[in-house]
Amino acid sequence: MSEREPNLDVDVEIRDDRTAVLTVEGELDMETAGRLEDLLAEQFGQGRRRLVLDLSALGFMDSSGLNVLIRAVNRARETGGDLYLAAPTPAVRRILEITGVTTMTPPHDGVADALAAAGGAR
Amino acid sequence: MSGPRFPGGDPSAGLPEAGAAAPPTSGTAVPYPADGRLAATVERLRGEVRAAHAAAEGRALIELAKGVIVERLGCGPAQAARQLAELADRAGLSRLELAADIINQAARDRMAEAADEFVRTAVDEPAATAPDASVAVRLRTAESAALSAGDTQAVAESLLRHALEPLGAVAVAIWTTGPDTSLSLRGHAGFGLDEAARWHYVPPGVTTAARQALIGRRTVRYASLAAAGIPSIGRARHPDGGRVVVPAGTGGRIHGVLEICWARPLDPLPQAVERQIEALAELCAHTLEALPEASPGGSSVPGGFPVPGGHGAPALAELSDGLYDPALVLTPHLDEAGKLVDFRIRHANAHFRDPAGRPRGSVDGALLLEAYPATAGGSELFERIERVYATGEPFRARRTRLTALVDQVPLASLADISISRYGASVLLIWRVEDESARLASLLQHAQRLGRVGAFEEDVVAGDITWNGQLYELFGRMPTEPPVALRDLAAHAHPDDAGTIRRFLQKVLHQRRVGSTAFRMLRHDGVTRHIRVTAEPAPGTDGGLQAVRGAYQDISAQHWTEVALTATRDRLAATEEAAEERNRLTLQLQHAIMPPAKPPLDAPGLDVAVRYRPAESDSLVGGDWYDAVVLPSGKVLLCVGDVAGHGVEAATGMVVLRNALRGLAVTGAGPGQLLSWLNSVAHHLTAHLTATAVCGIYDPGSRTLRWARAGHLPPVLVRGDEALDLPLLHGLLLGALAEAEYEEAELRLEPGDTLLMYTDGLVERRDTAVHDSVAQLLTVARQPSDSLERRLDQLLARSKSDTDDDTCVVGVQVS
Repeated sequence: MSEREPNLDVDVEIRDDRTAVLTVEGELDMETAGRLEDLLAEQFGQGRRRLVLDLSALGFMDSSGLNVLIRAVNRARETGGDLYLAAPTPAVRRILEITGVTTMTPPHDGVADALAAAGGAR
Repeated sequence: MSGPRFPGGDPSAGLPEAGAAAPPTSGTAVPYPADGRLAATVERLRGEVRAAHAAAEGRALIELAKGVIVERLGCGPAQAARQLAELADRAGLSRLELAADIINQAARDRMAEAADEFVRTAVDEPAATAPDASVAVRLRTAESAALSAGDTQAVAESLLRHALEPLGAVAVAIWTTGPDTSLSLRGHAGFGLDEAARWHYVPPGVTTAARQALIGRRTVRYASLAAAGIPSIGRARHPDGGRVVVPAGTGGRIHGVLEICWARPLDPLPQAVERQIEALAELCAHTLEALPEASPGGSSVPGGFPVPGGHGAPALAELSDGLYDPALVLTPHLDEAGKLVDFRIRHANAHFRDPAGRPRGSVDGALLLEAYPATAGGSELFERIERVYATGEPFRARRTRLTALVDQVPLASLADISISRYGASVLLIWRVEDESARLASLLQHAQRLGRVGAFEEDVVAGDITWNGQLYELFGRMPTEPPVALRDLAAHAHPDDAGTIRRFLQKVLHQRRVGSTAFRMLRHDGVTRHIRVTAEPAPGTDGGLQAVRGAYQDISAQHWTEVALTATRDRLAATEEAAEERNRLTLQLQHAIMPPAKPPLDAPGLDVAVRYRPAESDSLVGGDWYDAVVLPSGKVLLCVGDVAGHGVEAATGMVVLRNALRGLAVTGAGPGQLLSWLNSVAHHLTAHLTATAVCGIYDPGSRTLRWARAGHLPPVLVRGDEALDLPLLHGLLLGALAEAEYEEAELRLEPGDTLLMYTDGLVERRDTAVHDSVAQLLTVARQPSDSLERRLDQLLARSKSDTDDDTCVVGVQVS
């Protein structure tokens, strides 16, 4: 694992002053989870509480990555927002199911659905 | 060389170029501004006068004045003579004085100015020299005589008699300069023949009064020759007498020197007299220029430069092409007034490279200041050339800064310069500082900057050579003897004596290149860290002849290294601490979960466990298992996985495992236990999540009640079948403050095996968990003769690639 190059790209798209879409691509693991956590923290810091994570290009996620998602959900909800998961790949969806995170924050089929859910929460 | 570029004729002759009217033999005659024809006539008449060799200078003057009257009044010579006499009588002047006046008016030259000024001064300052109305006559007479004289000797005699004796002078000498800056006495009066013979030639480099004027290119006045300590002709007879020495030049070139001797010490001369003398010097210059090089009756000129064509430029061009350095042949360029204003580049030799990179042709033939405007600036090159041309004294200088303008950007380069005059041409040679010299200079700077000092020591003869930098390194004066290698230890810290001994052993006895570092103790109390490197140089007989090498002051490097070492030590300490922490984590884990079979005594149930730590110590994880008989007789079976690695994960694992054991004693079911454990995880430990499967097995009914918190469900192996239990509802621990966990019950049959495991067993980056679990089930279906063996098989065939720790608990109903 230590031989691996960190492999994670996150693209942040600001939709409005309360909403952002973060497209997470690659592998979310012990090496890379910190980066996503920083980017999420940045969005929280700028007052955006409705964050959509586009997981359609995320191939792998381990417990470190999962923890980042869980903490982000909790933080968003503490301040009246939420974290919306969109289009997880089957592998990631399975992890979310096994760990029960799907019951905590049910994934949406796509970014549009997630944004619609985020908009409805407004 | 003179091609179409020189429309003005041959400038090497020292002639004014196109537009100048004065013939070479009478430069004093500047055209009368009102009437050029009149001036030409005066000139013609002067020539006639010279040709006639008038017996009396006074008569010649009168003839000259008559000529002017003939021209002006359009009368005949006899009428002119009568007119002159009448005018003289009316004005109360002698005919000679009037003649001088008439000539002065016709030719407004310097001679006339000197005469006028003298008269003016005499009127303004009555106390000055006694008014002498015949100054004009005197000067004109001297001029006339000089111009008609066949040689310089006659000029000297005439000057003394007509112009200088009235000023109180007793003797005069006229020197000419040779191409080698020697001085030859060409004319003299008042010194006597013997003295003149003794002084007929002054070699170059001998400082005399005349040379001072030549080199200085200015009039020099000595109040007393003896007092000035300067030798010159006639000093024996008039040791305390004053001298005035004037360079005599035309067109920027000094042809000779006029030296005037007084018998008594000389007070400063009135300005008017100085002007007169300068005018006389100019007269001399024209005479010298006009007269043939080798004067009749005079001594031959030693060292005369035999140049074809008389002025040397073409020959010099050929000569310059034989030089390996860039060279230019220059000839003077005069303005209309005959003043030197520039030099014409007559030839650029074959090795000429324009510093500005222009082709040779664009420089060849150009004027020097036009081609190289910068030569007139800070480099003073132009002034040097001017001076060499004027005096004939060659100029040589090493490392002179030359500036060339390249696209208006001044580029400086260092060059060795040589300027010499040959005939009427100047040869300018320069050698741009060569590569080896520059490298040597570079090396010197590098040694200084790198604080390197070099040495060579002849071990046979004992001679030691140090460069300047080495003296500085050792803190020794260059006058002190260098330190021999064998004495080096005496200049070093005592603790370094052994190092130095080994170094010397290697170089001097084993004759190999050696290097060592030591602390040098200098006289001045300064300690420096020095590295010395030396190599032996064998002599012709094969024995050791010399040792050469270098010392370098590495004090700065030394302290850098010390700092680096300290940093490395700190890093190592950090690393050790990290290792220690990992070791403690591992010990903790082993203490809590021995890798061997736990003590478990439950009827009808075999329990086996495997714990495989991550390969990397730093990845010690938070996996745990537990299998314990509760007070109720039921068996708590559990595996869990705290997210993350290291001490925090291991600590979390300890908390959760012990908490679960304690909670299980209450007799609550697995769903309730996990719900409580979730609260523990959420509240007791910050930012901690964990997954777990918890089962309570009742040996009596062979039933297993189980629940899971985000964890992979257990696998049931029954016969040759293996399947994973359903994914019960249950969030991982610690994610939310409160969570509920679905429970399920499973009735086991004898021979059934239940496997509980952590994801280290199945997790793969390139494979979905579903496929990994399917792979695990395939392995689990393989028949196995014992539970222990089955677990070993599972671990052995695990395809996990994440180097996570792995925990497997297997229970088999007997």
